[in-house]
Amino acid sequence: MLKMAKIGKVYRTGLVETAALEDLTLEVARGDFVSLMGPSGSGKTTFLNIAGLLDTYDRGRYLLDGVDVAGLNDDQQSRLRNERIGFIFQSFNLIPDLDVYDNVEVPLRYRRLPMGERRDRVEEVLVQMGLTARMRHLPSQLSGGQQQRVAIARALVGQPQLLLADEPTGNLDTIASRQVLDLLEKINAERQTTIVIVTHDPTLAARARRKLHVLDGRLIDPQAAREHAAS
Amino acid sequence: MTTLLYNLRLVGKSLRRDPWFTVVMVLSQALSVSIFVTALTTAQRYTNTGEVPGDVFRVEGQRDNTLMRFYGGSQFEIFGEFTANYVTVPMVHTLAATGLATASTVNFVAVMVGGPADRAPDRLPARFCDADMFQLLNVDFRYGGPFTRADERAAPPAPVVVLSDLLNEKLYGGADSVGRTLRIAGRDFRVVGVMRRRTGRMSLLDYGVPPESMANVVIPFAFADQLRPVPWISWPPAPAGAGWRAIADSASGVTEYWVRLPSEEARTRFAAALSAVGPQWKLHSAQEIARRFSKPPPPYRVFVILTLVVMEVSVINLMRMLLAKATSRAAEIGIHRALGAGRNVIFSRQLLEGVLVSMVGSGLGVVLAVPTVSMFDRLIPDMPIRLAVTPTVVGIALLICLLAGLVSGIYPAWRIASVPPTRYLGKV
Repeated sequence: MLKMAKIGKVYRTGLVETAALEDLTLEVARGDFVSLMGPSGSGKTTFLNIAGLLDTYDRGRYLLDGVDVAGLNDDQQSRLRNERIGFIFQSFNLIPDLDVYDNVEVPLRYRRLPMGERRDRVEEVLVQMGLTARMRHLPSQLSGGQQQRVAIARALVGQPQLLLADEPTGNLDTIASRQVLDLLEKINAERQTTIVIVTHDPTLAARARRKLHVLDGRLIDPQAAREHAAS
Repeated sequence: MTTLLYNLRLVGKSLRRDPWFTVVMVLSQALSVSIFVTALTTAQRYTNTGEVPGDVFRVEGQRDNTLMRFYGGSQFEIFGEFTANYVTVPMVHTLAATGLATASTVNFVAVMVGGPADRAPDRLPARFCDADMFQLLNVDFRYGGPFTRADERAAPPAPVVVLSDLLNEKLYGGADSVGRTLRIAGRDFRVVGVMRRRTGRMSLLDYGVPPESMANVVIPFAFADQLRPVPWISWPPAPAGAGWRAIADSASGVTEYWVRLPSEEARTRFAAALSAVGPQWKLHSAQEIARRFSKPPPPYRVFVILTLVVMEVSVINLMRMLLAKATSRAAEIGIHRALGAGRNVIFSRQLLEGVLVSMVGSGLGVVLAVPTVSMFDRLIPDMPIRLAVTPTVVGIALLICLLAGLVSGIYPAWRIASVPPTRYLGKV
């Protein structure tokens, strides 16, 4: 599903260069459930940005579902992002002016689906998320857990093959966190959706089928990660 | 269409989120547009005369005469022209004797004393002309009609007059005054018609007439000597009670001679007859004369240019405000990008916002221009032709505003669409 080979990314600020990713090589199979852990500044977010086609890389090769993304223009990347990737953000990133229904509908709008199909898909996913009663509520009228469920509904409505989640439980209490994790596991199991979660939280990471660690822009083995954490 | 409606909906929500900011953007655009429309309306007052017949000509002599030298470059020039278009009595007789013109009129403006018979006499500008003038210069009537050749040629001539609508407004409040009596230089005249003027525009008749004499009464030329008119302007001053013959014979008398010459042959032969009178005399078509007034006078052109500068400042201001607004919504734009909106989608949505704000501001500006124009009009009390916002001005203003909207929207739209989505989201 996702294949990165020797991906490198350097951020330049004036004369200062910061290597965010250094020869990162990673393969995630279709239907896999992967967690990526690492301290702040280790390159987790950069990895997720590149994986989600929100940022570019300086070197290496990235194939998304067999497509080399380097050769795609902005329009093609946007289409690929819309059709194959779903995002779940730590801070939910719902659009404050739009109600639950309209928020969930946004990805389908960019896919230019007919109104009837959009409605059916949105209603279906809202039923799955238990949000039908909140359909016309604005995000500000929902709890944190409900907002994250809306964000998950929005990520799933386009039936993406890859779900990228950044600290999906970072702003939630314990009960809501558990519900979100249960939901992600269910999605992975039932829909065979590939999930990549970036997190600090070992409990959350432990729920993934594959646990990866990143440090200074490189993947490291679990033993090295434990030693780094101990130090 | 669906995409456009969706974009309009999102733009509407965006504009409603910070209503005061939106109001400031719209108002700043509206104010500059209203000033621009005012300038354009003012300038347009001095241009064009509408439909001008192709076979009507005026006799003109050399332009370097006493009046030209005296008034050239002064503020009076903006109200008309000082051409040496005077004619003398023998000259008119000579030209009329050719029999080539199917219609002709001598025409000059003078100052009389008079007014409604039941009121005290006052200064009364008067235009003396032949009956043919009404058809030669396409004069339209609001009430009644023109006096006729028969009125002029009757013995004695029929004491009938036509009022300009400005004079009718001044004397009778704009009511139908046909049949009323005007007493001019002690003689009674019956009003037979009131001319109609195109709103906010001068007519060919008005050029060369000072503002204070535009509200005038039109008297058959047959009375030009009997009433002893005083020319509105002459240098050296014409003696009081001198009459038209004295005016026409003076070095500075402003007396026009208009003719209709339908065929090319008639024109050639008439021009030859004119050359025989004097080499400086030429025939000039009404269309050519109208073209001289196709541009507003320099002060009003400067006014329009200045307001265009104000518009430019307003466009830059709107551009900055749109950019600030887009930047404040950067996170939301980042979400749309993450969910599949390409750069072109963000660009067109931002551009739509700019154009929408600009067009709403422009519409409001045009509405605001109506009282602004009226207020501006009152600041020039001597100008009798009332300013009016015409559809042409509105069309020009809206076209320029649409361009301004596009210009002010393009840069913020391009800026916001060019930034990578990670910059907005900060963290995905």
